[in-house]
Amino acid sequence: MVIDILNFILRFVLIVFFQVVIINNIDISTYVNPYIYVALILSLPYNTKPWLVVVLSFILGMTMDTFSSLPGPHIAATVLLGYFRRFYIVFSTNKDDQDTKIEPSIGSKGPLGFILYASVLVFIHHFLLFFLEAFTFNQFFGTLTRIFFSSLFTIFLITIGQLLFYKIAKK
Amino acid sequence: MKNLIFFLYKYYVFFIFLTFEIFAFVVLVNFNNYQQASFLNFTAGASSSIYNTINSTTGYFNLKTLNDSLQIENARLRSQLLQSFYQNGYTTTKVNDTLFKQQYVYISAQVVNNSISRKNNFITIDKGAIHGVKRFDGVICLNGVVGIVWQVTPYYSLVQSVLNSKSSTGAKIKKTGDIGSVTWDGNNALFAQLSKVNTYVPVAVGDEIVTTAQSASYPEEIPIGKIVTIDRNPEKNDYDITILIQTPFSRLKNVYVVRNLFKESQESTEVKAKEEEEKSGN
Repeated sequence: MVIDILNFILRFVLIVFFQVVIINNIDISTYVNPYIYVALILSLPYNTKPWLVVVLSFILGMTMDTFSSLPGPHIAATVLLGYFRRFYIVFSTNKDDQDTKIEPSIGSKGPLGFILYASVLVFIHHFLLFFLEAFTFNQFFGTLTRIFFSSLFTIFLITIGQLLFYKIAKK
Repeated sequence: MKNLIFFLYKYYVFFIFLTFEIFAFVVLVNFNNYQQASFLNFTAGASSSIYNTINSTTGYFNLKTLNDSLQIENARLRSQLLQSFYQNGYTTTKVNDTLFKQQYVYISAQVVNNSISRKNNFITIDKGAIHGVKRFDGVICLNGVVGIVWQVTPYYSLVQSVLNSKSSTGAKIKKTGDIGSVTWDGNNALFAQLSKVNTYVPVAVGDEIVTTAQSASYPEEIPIGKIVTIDRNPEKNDYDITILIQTPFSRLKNVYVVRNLFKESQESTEVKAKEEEEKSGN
């Protein structure tokens, strides 16, 4: 239990550091803003209590908002992601797995299953995040394009990260 | 009562979720509401000092170009000094001149954090309230305008960049002096939009766009950009003009905060005039 908590804190610090110091400084285009930090919530074990997932999402969103100079969008989007995660898991995983400590990953869900899982939740997250950042429905399709390309990059980066760490874990 | 408790217990995750969402929306709306910034005051101190640590490490990478640009600016300023002018004629009496009164004070600052790829970009600089920065002061750099001070904490300030979909900069066409307003649509960090220019104004591609002192935040004639394309807006009898921004936002490092010492009096005059107008209207 203590190890799990320490493990989570370590991951939390690493992923926030990676997002803030590296990803946020890559200015490719105004249409591509990947937010890979959601991987932290995506990879929580199946048997994490739903309320805990929501609370952790809130803390993560709050941390990201601190670094983004526009308070609110990250909290709202990440909490929404944390809430919806449960429904996707109930719908996509069999009952036995749901009560185990297994983490949703490429290893446990298979490549296609994981990418689909990540895609749905990342899209929900980015959808709310980018509309709240814009705070207007003007340029509706501009924002949609932004959501699409950013989600694409986020999913791509998360999948690469999974491949990297899955290999290491296997060894 | 028992049913209510059971109901709350059954859906407690949903209620936690709802509470957080409401919190997020309240914070966001308050921030967009101009006046309040309690959340930011609370968090900006922490994040800014972390950014500063990162910045002091990465700052070494472009020291050379930075030095060059500072040297160029020094040379330019040195050439404006009194010593660099040859005195043509006899001036011997010394007069304590009251004709000139200082209007603008410049505070040099370093960019600590910056982004150009969001829809609402903000810049964090390392000067704050104790250095004399106030809200709505203008921020400029060597090449042009940067933005307006949006939030001030004791040691850091948050600047609303020109590359922010909510920013609006008072501007004029240098050649003709006609005023307009520069906004950013959030799509390309190289181009901004100039609007509210009437169709009778003779504009041409390549015309320089500069700031106007009417905005009270910037001094007169700080460059903003150059006109690239001109379209007529058939509905409103004005132009839709795209301008190429001159400020190199992607490698912004040294900036100046401009404190207009007459700002308060300028604004209070305008407010007074507006109030009187309303009174006479009724």
